[in-house]
Amino acid sequence: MTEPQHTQPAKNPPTVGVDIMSEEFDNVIGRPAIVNQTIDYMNSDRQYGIRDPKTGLLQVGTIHGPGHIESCEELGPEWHYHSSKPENQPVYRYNSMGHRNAFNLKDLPDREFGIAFGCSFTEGIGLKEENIFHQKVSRDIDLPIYSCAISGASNDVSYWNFTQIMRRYKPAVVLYQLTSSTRFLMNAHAHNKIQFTFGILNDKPEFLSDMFDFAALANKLKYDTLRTQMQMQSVKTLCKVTNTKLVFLDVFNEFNSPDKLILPIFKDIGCVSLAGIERDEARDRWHSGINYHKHIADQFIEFLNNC
Amino acid sequence: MHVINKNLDGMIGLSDSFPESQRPAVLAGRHALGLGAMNASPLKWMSTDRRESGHIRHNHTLLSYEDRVKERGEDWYYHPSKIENQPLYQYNDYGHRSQYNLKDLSTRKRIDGYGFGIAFGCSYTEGIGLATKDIYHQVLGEMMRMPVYNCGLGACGNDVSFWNFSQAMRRYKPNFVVFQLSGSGRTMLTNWDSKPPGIDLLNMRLATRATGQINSDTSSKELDLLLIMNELRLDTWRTIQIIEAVKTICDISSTPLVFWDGFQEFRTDRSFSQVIVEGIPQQNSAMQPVSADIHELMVIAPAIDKARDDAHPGPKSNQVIAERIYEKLKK
Repeated sequence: MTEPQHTQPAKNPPTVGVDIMSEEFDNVIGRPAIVNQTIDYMNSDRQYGIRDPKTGLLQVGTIHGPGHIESCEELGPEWHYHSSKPENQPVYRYNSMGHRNAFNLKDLPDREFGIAFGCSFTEGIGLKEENIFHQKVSRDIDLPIYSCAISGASNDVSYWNFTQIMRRYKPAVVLYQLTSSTRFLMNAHAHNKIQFTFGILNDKPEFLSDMFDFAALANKLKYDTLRTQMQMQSVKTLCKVTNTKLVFLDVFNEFNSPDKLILPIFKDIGCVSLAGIERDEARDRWHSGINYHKHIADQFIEFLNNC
Repeated sequence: MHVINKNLDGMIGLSDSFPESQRPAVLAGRHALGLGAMNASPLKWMSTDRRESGHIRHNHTLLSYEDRVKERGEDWYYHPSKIENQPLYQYNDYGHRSQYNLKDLSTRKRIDGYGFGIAFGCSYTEGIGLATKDIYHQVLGEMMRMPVYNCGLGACGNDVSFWNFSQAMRRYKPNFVVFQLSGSGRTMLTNWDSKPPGIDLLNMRLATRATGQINSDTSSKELDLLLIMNELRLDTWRTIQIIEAVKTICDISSTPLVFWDGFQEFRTDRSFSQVIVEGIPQQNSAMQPVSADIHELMVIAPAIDKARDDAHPGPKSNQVIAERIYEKLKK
């Protein structure tokens, strides 16, 4: 048995946590910690995990259940992301706002670009840029698509950035990936600036406890989903007023069931469905893989063609 | 009871005012406001018009209308002898206090090049305790020489106003928007676990705090939710999100916009959210970092007098509000 090669990051992944909305970013929520950086691992790319004390291998938490960890390298050289295949490894390029793009928003001409909002799914954690769904859409419709996605973000974050960006820029297409309604964005008021945290990044136990209590209650009372519905309605209105093509992507499958409350107002909202798509995995074995993104891109293109 | 009705532009209105044919079965026969057919016969009193004795506010009991008449005499603006000053609540197809329907207004032939305005808000905008002519947006309409649609709903939070704003702006093109901010602590919830078969309505209700009815486990959870939201300042943060979105949509559609900070939550020298538990306002405004251009759109107004119900701003206060909004719109 050959000894597995250890995947060694060039340097420790940056901790990208607290996101700050600042005037330099046109009040858009970005990530100052990684502005204009190119890195080979993100902290949310879970292959860069905890080193197993027995094997010395990098481990990754998987969806198989709590406590189940395994070494990616043990998947062998056939694995698409085996370290012997440098051409398959994701590289994370971040622009002047800390969004994963090779270009900046202000450099894009009016009505000649698209924009994608969402969480790590849209940021493409574990994937090369070219394999993310919106980049395939970009190639097919021959328009650059700006990725405004932020890993770990809630719909609040996407909605805030959508509101700020649509006031200042004029995209032709909006791809709006919905994340889980149970994620919430907090604002911690300090130094006369609003800082945004996701609860878990705050080290105050009381704050954490309140946050969990709130999320649990909001879920129980369906306030979380209702809030997402409100945002969707507003997004649709804004896109209609600006004659901007819009497609939602319901990654967390919150709104695709006939008995969901969204139904009475949902019929006129175009939304990509994930039903029937076989899921594969990205490098981190947590996020969706190349084929999954390709199928989603195909659906997006179909929607856009019918808009 | 507030209901989203897709047949009525997906807007939230008072369900009790819907025609029988559009009223869901679960609501049929529910006449909490004593309203069988609001359209057919305008109301002289609303449930939120506090004419009844026994309402406690600021540790004292409000007097009934009859007692106030005796106490204040014939000079009182709302003395029964002054019929023209008495509120008359007339609701349209949407369940909004408006003499016309939005879709009729939008296609109405414009006079002198003018169209129509629209006002969103809570009871301040609905005009509880006021005659229609005395509500600020109707005074404003006279100044602007155009009709103003009243989309105010008593007791509603900013999320209700925002919902209706989103629906209205998608379908209609008003000449200006007045967005009266309500208390951030008010929250809209839905009380259907799943959509009842055969009903095309999404039922909305206000959280317990606003209705003052804590009589079940669900009510208790709603109150807990509001308290935690307030503690974490999520309520004010939500309002800020709404403000930003309203501004963006108005900017893009070139619609003049004025906010009226009815509850004075965003005054930089005061609070940003009244804490529900202690009643102690916070010291700093969370609006500051994002509000430089929004403060330019915001008006506040002193409470000079009171409406008939002694709980809402009166005619003179509404006149001042209208003038301040007018000044902003003219700019």
